Amino acid sequence: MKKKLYSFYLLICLSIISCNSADDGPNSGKDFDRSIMLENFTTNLIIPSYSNFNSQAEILLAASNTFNESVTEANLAALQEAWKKTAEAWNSTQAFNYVGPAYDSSFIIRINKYPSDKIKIEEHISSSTEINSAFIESLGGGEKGLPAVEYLIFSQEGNSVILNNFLTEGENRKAYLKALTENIKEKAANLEAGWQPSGKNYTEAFLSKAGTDAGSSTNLLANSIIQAVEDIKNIKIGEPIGKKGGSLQPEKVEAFNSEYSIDLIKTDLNAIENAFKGGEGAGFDDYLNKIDAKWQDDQLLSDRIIQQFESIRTALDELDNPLNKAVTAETAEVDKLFNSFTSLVSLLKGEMISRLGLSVTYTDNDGD
Amino acid sequence: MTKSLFKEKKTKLEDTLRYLFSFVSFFGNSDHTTNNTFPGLSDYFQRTTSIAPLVVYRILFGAVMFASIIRFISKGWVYDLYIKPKFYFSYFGFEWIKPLGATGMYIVFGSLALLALLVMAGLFYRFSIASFFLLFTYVELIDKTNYLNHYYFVSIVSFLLILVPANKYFSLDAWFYPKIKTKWVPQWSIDIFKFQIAIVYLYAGLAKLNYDWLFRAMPLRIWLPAQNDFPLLGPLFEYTWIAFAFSWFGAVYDLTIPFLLINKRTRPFGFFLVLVFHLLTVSLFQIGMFPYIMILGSLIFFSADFHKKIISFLSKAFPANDKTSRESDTYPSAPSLVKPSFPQKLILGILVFHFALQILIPLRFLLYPGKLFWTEQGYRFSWRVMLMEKAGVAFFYVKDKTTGDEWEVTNRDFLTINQEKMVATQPDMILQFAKYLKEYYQKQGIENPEVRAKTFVTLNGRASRPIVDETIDLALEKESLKHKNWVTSF
Repeated sequence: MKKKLYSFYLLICLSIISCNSADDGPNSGKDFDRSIMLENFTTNLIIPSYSNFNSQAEILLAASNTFNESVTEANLAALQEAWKKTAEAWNSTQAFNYVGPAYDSSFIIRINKYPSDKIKIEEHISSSTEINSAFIESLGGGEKGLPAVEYLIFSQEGNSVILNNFLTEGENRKAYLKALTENIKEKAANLEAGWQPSGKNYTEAFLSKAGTDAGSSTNLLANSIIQAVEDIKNIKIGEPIGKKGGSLQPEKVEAFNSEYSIDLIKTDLNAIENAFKGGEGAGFDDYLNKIDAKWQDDQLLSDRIIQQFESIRTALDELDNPLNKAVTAETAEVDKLFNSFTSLVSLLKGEMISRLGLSVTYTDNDGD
Repeated sequence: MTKSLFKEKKTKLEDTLRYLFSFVSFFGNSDHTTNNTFPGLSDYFQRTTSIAPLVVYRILFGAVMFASIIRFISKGWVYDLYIKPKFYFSYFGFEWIKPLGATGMYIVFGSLALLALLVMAGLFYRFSIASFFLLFTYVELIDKTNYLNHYYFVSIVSFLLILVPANKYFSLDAWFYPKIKTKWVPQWSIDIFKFQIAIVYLYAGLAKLNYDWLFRAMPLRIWLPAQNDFPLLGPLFEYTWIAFAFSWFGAVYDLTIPFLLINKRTRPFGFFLVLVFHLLTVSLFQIGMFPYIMILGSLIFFSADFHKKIISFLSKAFPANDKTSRESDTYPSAPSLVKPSFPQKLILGILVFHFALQILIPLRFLLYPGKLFWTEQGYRFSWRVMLMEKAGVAFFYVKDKTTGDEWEVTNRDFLTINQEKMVATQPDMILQFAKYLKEYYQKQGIENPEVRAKTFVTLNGRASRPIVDETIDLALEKESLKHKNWVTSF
C-alpha cells in the first residue's frame, strides 16, 4: 500500500519532469514582466498625459486672461479653442483617473463634473461675494471646472451672446472666469506633481506593487481603464439617451454648450485604447498575448478587444449630429453606440480581468 | 405481520449501518490492536479511546477560530459584508435570516471571538460550542455572496464538536468540576472528525476529475502565470506543464491524503504533503485561514501519544493545570466496554443522519440537467474548491410596461463590488437580484416592471456567452430549487 502510493507520487514527479523537456507550446517563451509594463505606463503614458493637461490648463488660463483684458471676437475664439484643447487633454487622462492621486482626491468631480449648474453660476456672478480661487474651491462640482468655463464661454445661440454678457455685466463674470481657470491650473499642477518623481512621487509606490493581488498596480490600472469605459457608457452616453431612468436627458451630455461631446468621447476612447495597448510599449494587449489568451480558437483576445474599439469608432462616426441632438434625431444609431460599449465593458471587465488572473475583490476566495 | 415486517426492516437498517460504520472504524482502528477488524455496530460504538486527540482538536479549533474572527473584524469585513450592503442574497428557504444592523453585527462577531476563546479553554463547553455553531452559521446564512467552502466546514466541525465531550480533560470545566474529568472517550467521538475530513478531501478530489481540470489544466493555467513574481518558483508558473503538474498533483493529493493520514506508517509522509500543499496554496492564492484550519485539523489523525505530548507541553505553559498534567503521565488501561446511554444513542442517530446528508448533498447536482459548472445548480456545499475561473458581467434592464420606457440599472447603486461580481455568473443570484429590482421599482410607483438580464460569462478561458436568456422577463420567474429553464445550456 505504502510503496504503491509512494511510487504513484514518484510517477507524477517523473511525468512532470518529462513534460518539461517536451513542452514548447505557444505558452512558453513568457517572462512577461509587469514591472516593465508599469514603468512604461508611468514614463510614457500617465505622467506625460497629466503633464500635457497641466500645460493646456496654463494656456487656458493665459487665454482667459487675454480675453478678460480685451473682450473681442478673436480673443473669444482663441479662448474657446484653448478650452477644447484642455478638455481633450483632460479626457486623455481619463483612463488613469481612478488610480493614484486623481482618484484619492476625487479630481474627476473637481475638474469635469457636468452638466454645469448654470443657475448657481449666475447666482455667484450676480452676488457680492468676492470671487477668487479659494471661493471656487469651496463650490460643488457643477459650479466649477471645465463645464463651468464652458458654460461661460460657449452658447448654442452664438458668440454674440457671450460677448454681450462679458461686455455688459463687467467684472464679476470676468473674475469668475479667471478664478475658474486658475483653479483648474492649480488642480492640474497638483495632479502632475502627484505622479512626478520630483513631486509627491506616487510613481514610486505604483511601481513597487507589481503583483496581481487586489491592491496591486496592475489591478488598479486595469480597473481604472474599465471604469473610464463604464463612465463613457453610463454617464456620457447612457444618461442622455435615457438608459438611466427611462426618459431622455440630452442636457446631460458632456460639453452641451459647445456641442463638442462626440469629439471628447473620441478623445477619451482613443486614450483608453492607447492605455490598453500601453502606447508603443508593453500594455495589456501584450500581456494577454504573452499568456496566449484567445477569444476563440482562431482569434486572440487582444485582437477582439481592439476590434471592439474599432466598431465603437465606426458607430461614433455614423452620428451626424452632436450627441445632445443625436439623442432624439438618431435614436437607432445612439442605441447601437451604447450597445457596442456594453460589449467592450464585458470584454474588459469579464474576459480580460479573468484571463489575467486579476481580481476586483479583496476578501478571501475559496481554498482547497 | 406488520411487526415482523418492521423487524425485518430494522435488521436491514442495522446491516446498512454496520456496513457504513465498518468504514468509519477503518478510519479509527490504526492506533488500536484489535482482532476484530470489522466489529459489530454496537461493539464499535462501545469502544473507547484516549481523549487526548479530541482535547487538542478542541484547543486548536478554538484558537484558529479566535484568530479568524479577529482577522475578519480587523480587516473591516464586518462592515463591508454585513452592514454596508443594501441587499443580501439569502439562501432559498432561509430568507428570514437577516443581518442585525451595525451594533448587532459587531456584537455577534465579538461574541464569536469570545466563544472561540471559551471553546479553546473548555469553559461552559457545550454552551460555548453550541452558541458558536449557531452564531457562525447564522452569519454565513445572511448572504450567499460570501459563501466559502471553508466557512461551511467550520460550521460542520463546530456542529460535530457539540456532540462530543471535548471538555472532559485539560479544560477549565474539568478544573472547576473535577467530577467530569475522564481520560477516555468513545472511539467514534474522534473518528467522526476523521471521517468528515475524509469526505471533504474525497469529494474535492472527485470534483477535480473533469476534463477542464485534467486535460486543459484549467483554471490553474490562468491563475499560476499571474503569480510569476512568486519567489523561486515564480518564473516556472508561466509554463503550461507546471499548471498540468499542479492540477494532477492536486487531484491525486485530494484522493489519497485521507488514506495516507489514516495509515500509521504513511502518516508522517501524508502530513508532510498536507504542509507542502496548504502552505503553497496559502502563499499563492488569497484564501485566508483555510489552509491553517486544514493543517491543524489533520493532526486529529495522529496517535494519542502524540497528542498527550502536546498536552503535557501545553500544561507546562499553564501551571494551573499542573495537577491534571501529572496525572496524565500514567494512563490506566481502557475501561471495559460501556453501554451507550440514551442521550448517546440519540447522538449516534444524529450522526448517522448527518453523514448520510454529507454523502448525499454533494451528489444532488446529478438531479439537474445541464453542465454543473455553468448552471451551478447543486454546486455549493459540495467541496468544489478552486475548480473554475468563472467571470462575467451582467447588465440588468428594467422596463415600465405601461409607458414602454426601458433603462439599464447601475448595479453599483444596489450592490457592492463583490456582490456585483458574484451576481454576474450565478443564475440563482441573477434571479434574486431581478426580483429585488422588481420590488424596488414597484415601490417607486412602476406597477408592472419587466426585468431582463444581459449577461456575458466566461468559464475557464472560453469566449464569453450569455448565461441567461436575455429575452426572459425575470420578474415573472419563481425562485425555487427546481431546474431553471431560462439558464442557457453550456
